[in-house]
Amino acid sequence: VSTQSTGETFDRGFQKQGSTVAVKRPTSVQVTSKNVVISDKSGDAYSYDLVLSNRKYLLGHVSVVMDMVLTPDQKFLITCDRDEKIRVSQFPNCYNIESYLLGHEEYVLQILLLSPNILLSVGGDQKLLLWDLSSQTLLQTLSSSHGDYTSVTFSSPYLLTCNTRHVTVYKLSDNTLTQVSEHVSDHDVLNLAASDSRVMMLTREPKLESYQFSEGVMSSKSEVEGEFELGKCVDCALPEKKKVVRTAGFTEYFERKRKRIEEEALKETKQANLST
Amino acid sequence: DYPVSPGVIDWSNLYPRFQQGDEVKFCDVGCGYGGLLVTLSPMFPEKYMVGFEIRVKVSDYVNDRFLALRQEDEVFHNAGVIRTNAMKYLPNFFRKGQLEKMFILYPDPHFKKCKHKWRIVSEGLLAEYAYVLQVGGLVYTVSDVKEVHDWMVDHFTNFPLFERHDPSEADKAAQVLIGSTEEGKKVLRNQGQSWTAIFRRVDDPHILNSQAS
Repeated sequence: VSTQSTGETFDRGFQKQGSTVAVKRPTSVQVTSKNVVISDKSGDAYSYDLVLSNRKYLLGHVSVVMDMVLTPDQKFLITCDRDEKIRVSQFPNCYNIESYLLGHEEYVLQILLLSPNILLSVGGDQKLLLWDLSSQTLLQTLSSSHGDYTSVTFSSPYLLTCNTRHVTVYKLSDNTLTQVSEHVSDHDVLNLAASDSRVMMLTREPKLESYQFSEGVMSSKSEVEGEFELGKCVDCALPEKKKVVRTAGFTEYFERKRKRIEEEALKETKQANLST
Repeated sequence: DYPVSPGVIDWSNLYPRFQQGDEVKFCDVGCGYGGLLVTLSPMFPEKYMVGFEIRVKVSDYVNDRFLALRQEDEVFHNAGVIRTNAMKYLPNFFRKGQLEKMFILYPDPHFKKCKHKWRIVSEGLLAEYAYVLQVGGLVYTVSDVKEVHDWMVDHFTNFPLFERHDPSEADKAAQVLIGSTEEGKKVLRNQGQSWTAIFRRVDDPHILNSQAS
């Protein structure tokens, strides 16, 4: 999918199979053996068949759907939005909401399935939350001391989180995340990817860096040769936070109300004094 | 103005007699000046009910109204108002299947097509209403705009988890829908017409079908 609201599907030989214009700018895609599910900036999710026809409305959030995950057994579609919500809906009957995983206090940037039953969510509240999907409970909370999360990736059993320049590696075992190593980059990291033996980081310079990755530790940095230009869409700003904006209108109203009540009370006592 | 999740709200801040294990069972979405709640509160004394209102001044008025009513008569201890955006935060306040009744009275028509997404009844939001309502729970709708009434009927009946419901004679709430709100009284005064429709939350046909096959 591209930011011009178009989507295209290709087979393994990279032959184009189908294309379509999405309803609104897509934010996330999930593919199964029978459908393509696309979420968008309006907060809606649609399913299509593999040649991108037969669009069906699946569900809608009131705010932007930031990320989406389909469970491997294809029983649940999980979507997260700017209003701090993670919604677990049945699939394909997405009108039937299974549960909400509520815990974030700012937008939910990303959700990742670490195992068929364990979900990780990344929030603008600088927290990582680890969820058990079957009991819908919160297993663990991790907080960042390096500012906002900008991207997160998982290559079992290692979770790599990035806070602009700070990359932290955690290991998942027994449904708990423990920190293994840290790495500080000289430049803002725009995106990262990991495999069993390698970590790739795209920095703002722009440069594509490659590291050896072993036992959760990054080493032996090398740079991928070539000239890179960053397109506009790569540098996506994080959403605005809510906590700042929320209280402005209230305090004004209640100030005015308090003053009005005080003035009226004063008037009443004056009149009472006059009449005695 | 809204909790992180239903588990962390202390409802006793709103209801003086709220005990552990009590739960709010009725919700008036867009309660305006509180007319419906004032009528329902003495009719259902054993049920806790809440109104959601997005306007600061209006919700504050309703709050003051209930505080004043409670001073005169303890009957009104079971109703309260919360200033919040019901479209966004219903799941923050209620757990799955918590509510027995939901009320959507005289919702804003949002006539322009580009504003249809902001109508309180939409395909997307129906999933949330179905989530907070128990199976068998009821949604009561009223509008004095025929187009809005038709829109609501159309959306609810085409949604797999709701069916149109005929209220029984014993349904006290159904009887007070039009006369109890400020909006409703205005419509009556102007000799306008109000249309009502009630819907029942039903089991998922998709699940029933796959179990059958």
